[in-house]
Amino acid sequence: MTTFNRTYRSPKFFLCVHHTEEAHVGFEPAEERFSHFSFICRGSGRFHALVDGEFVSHTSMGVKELFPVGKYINCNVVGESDENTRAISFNSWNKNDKWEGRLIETGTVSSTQRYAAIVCLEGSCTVDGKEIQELEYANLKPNKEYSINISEDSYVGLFELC
Amino acid sequence: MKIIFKIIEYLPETEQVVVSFCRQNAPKSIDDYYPVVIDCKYIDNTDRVNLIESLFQLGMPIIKQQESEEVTPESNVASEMFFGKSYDDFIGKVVSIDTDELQSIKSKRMRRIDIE
Repeated sequence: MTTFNRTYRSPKFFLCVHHTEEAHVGFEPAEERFSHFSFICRGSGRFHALVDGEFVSHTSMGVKELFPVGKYINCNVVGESDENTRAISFNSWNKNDKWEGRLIETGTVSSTQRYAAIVCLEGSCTVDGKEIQELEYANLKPNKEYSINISEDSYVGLFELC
Repeated sequence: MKIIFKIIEYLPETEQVVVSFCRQNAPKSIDDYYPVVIDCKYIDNTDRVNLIESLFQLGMPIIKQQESEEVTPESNVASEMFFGKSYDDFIGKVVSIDTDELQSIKSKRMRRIDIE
């Protein structure tokens, strides 16, 4: 079985990229959980969080969607990945941070929050003419509007520290 | 790191082997390391490759122990790690990390694109 995990660090957040070639089941204790969002690039998986002694299951997380998992940040979790699955989680260094996140489309992007970043989860995009490749990010200045062009089959998230 | 073993003796009455282990680039000959006795029941002898690999797996703790007992030259003792991160701060300091720890780290800094 091949599983590959890699962490991409930035000062305010980090991404964990989990890739499984074959089906994989993993346990993540609450003290090791810092995830606010999950993005399934391909494949499929299931997520079971232990809440007040009962498992809460999400059996269809869907691909190419940003799935909020922050409410389970203090829960023990069992994650199942089917074969050939690639998932990216967006994590904060501090569990108490409150993050908003959503996928964005070509057009304009801005944030009123004191810290916001756009993260290219898959593919590439350009922001005010500057290219951002997969798993690269750019910080946004508060209240400044940026022009963003997202390439075909690319997915970009806006993450705001609230 | 390359590691080596040499079977010194096979004891058919007790089904044991006497083996020496060390790193290939150890500071002394493999013949100068104390051999150990291993029960053959712990060795996977289904084929030659399995036999060799299982013996190495059994020998790894011994090799790690040898390595930890080797004398560290005074000039190789690591400095305190908590200093600034500019290259100037590093000059003249010896920095160390356990390679086992290093192998478990699969982390890299994200590239930030400056658009501000």
